[in-house]
Amino acid sequence: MLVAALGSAIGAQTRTQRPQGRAPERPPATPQGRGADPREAIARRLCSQCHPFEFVVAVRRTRAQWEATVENMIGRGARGTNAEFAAVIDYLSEAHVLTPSTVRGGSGPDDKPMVDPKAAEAAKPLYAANCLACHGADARGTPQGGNLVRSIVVLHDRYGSTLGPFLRGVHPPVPVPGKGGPPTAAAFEGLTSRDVLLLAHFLRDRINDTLRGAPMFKAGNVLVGEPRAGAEYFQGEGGCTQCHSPTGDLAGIGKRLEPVNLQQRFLFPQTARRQSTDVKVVTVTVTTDSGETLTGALDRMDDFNVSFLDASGNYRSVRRTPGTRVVKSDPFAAHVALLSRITDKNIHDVVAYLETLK
Amino acid sequence: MIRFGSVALMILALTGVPTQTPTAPQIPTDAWPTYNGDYSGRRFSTLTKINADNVKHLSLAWSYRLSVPGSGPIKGTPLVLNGIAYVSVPDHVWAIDARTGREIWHFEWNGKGGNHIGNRGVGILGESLYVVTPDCTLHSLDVKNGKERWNQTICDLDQYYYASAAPVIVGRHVIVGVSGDDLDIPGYIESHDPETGAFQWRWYVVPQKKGDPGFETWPNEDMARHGGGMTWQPPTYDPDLNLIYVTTGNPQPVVAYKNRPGANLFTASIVALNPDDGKMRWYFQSSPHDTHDWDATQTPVLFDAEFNGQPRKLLAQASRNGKFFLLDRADGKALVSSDYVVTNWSKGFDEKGQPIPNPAKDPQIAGALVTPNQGGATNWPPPSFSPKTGLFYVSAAQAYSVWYIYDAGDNPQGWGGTDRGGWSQNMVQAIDYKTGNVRWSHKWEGGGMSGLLSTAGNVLFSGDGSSGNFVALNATTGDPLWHSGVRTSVSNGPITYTLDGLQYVVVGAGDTLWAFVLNE
Repeated sequence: MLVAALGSAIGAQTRTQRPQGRAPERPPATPQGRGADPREAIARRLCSQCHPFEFVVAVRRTRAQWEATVENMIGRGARGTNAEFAAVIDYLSEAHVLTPSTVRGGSGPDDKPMVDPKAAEAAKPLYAANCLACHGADARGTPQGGNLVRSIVVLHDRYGSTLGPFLRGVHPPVPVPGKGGPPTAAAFEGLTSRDVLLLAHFLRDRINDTLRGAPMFKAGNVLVGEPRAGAEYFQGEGGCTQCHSPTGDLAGIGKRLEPVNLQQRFLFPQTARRQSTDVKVVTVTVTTDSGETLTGALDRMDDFNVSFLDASGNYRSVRRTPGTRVVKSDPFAAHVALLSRITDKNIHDVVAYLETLK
Repeated sequence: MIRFGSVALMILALTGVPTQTPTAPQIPTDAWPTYNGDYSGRRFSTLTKINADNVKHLSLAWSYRLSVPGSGPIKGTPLVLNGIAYVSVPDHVWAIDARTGREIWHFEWNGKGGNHIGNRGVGILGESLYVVTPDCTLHSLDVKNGKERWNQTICDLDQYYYASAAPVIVGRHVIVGVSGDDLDIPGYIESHDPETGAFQWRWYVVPQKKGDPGFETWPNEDMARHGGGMTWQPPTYDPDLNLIYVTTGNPQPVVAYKNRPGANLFTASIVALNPDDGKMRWYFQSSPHDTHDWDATQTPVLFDAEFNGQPRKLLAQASRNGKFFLLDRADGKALVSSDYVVTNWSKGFDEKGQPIPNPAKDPQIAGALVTPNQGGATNWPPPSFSPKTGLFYVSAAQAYSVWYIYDAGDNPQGWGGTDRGGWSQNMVQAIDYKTGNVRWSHKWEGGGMSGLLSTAGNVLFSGDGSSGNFVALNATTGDPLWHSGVRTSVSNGPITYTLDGLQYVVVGAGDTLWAFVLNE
């Protein structure tokens, strides 16, 4: 039964499941809350033969990993019926599962390790005691120790599979962490398998920190300009007052938008128009070769045809012949024109000014 | 028939004696035997049956939709040999009848992961077809039936490498590059034996130890060893000089640059290698110390033409950073350096003709407005050079975005920043190779880039971006002559070949190949 369950779990790891990155926090296993699931009682009873139960569930695992763990425990003498062990696996795989998170770029192997935030957090004292002095707080190395984010041993690791053997047999001799003394090859012999697993989660989390889409992958402080200079540009060289007013359409803009979004919105307003309540659209005026003049909101245009919605909302499509004249009116043309002449200082000043409009 | 076309290619590859003159290899009229048609990268066809006068009568011959839904878009250029077209997307290759579009065989690989962003095409030598799959695997297939002969691992998925490039066959070498820029890893290009798959040589783009060439352009060994420079576009080849021209990607970390001061050789460069041993002959760096993801992997196009009154062996590249370069391909010396769109990130060119980056336009915490954007002034869609017009055609964009540093620490990794937002205008730029000036520019309403094909019939084929048309332009003037709606953006480089007296033009758009002919 276990073998069958294991097989189906492996088979279920299809291309659509791209486990990657940090596992989200999950709700309790049942709507009734912890303790209401009869399978939990079985798990507590079986596991508690040897371990505190909270220790067992301190680290989340994939279903395949829970199956392997339970099989391992059976091999070590855990007692129960097949039905009980199946219930334990089901329970642990639902209530304490390591689930795929949002894909960060879709790169890497399908079986890349997932990070349990609890395990990564629990590893911090271990990392601090054993690794930090040489490899740095972010694991990116110091003059005393290599960059673990770029380490082939770490990148090849699956939940301690290469990290454990490396720490116990290959790592260069260092003094025993916390005790000092001469460098020894046995410095990490005190680390348990669980310690290694926790460190593996911590290091994978540091790798994920470097990927696009990581929590720290976000804009810093863009408020570096001078509001007064920004106001001058707004009212003068920028030509902004031709369409905008700080007490009209832009009143409170600094309250509504984060500074970085403020910067993006004023440079590239086209990209935000779908979210805006004040929808501005590109319009076209088409003079056909028969002399008819039509106008409307642009739908599509290429070298050969133009289509638009006229004032009544009717869809119109006109073939562009040599005699056809099409004039496009872009409400954002002034913003586009800014791109080739505005300086970065102007940009930062204007953002600092707009941010004051609260 | 299979044997004939393939053996002709093999003889060319083995002996370095092309079927035409050594310095002007040409695409066979009844085939499209390599990614670029020939080794030169010109994507210029001598066929004239379809020409600027009659192209308006072009009509659909067939269309073929990939038999695996969702496996497109088709970014690779199909190869055509002996009346059979071979088209690839990540994990799949199809052989289809080049006359009818009927499927002959399909190869599918159940891979182990890797970035599925695209597959650029296949290579064929004799009875073998070579293709890579995203999970770092190089495969040799039986060209008759798609059965696998062997496979070789060419990179490490755990380091977030993946494979996407079209293999190029030169002599007894299957030459293939690697992809991947999520983590800080070194780029390289390597060679395998066509018959057995055995590894032959590997050339690392970035120095792997102190003292290696280019090491002086990195702050230390760790940064050099992990400095990126992916080789995800196929090289071009000059049989006469016996040099392959390899183009390299951006340095790592990609955007946050604080821990890699220096030019970061040989990233974002054009490099001449000996295909027999992978040794470097010369380099030219298109983007010294790049900080904008502007790999210089765009096709290094080879042609022989007059320059300053002298016949020259030339190499031209329209690079992603908005700069056009004309080099002497024997020694890599720059003859012309210019801007083919407006750029705002450099302070002119140095004595070697390489751009001088303006540090103020490096990514900033508070943002720097830069043109081009991350997608570049151009990108991977292949350009074309017509010896008839003397024009270098490139699918281009005038594109602005704001570049941010996200990781402001002293030791950023990976990307450490990115660009955001933007505005762009797409166009075809026709560049006079002698001056680097844009002779004509044809703007598109739709966004997105397209591969190009020029012909001796004075036609330039292109997509018009998101407008979803396949378009023929007058190659001399840029005036539109014909179009056909192909449902979505053209997604690869168009090809042409003649079978039974009919000249076909075939293009990929999304998951469909469209074949057009001139019915008489």
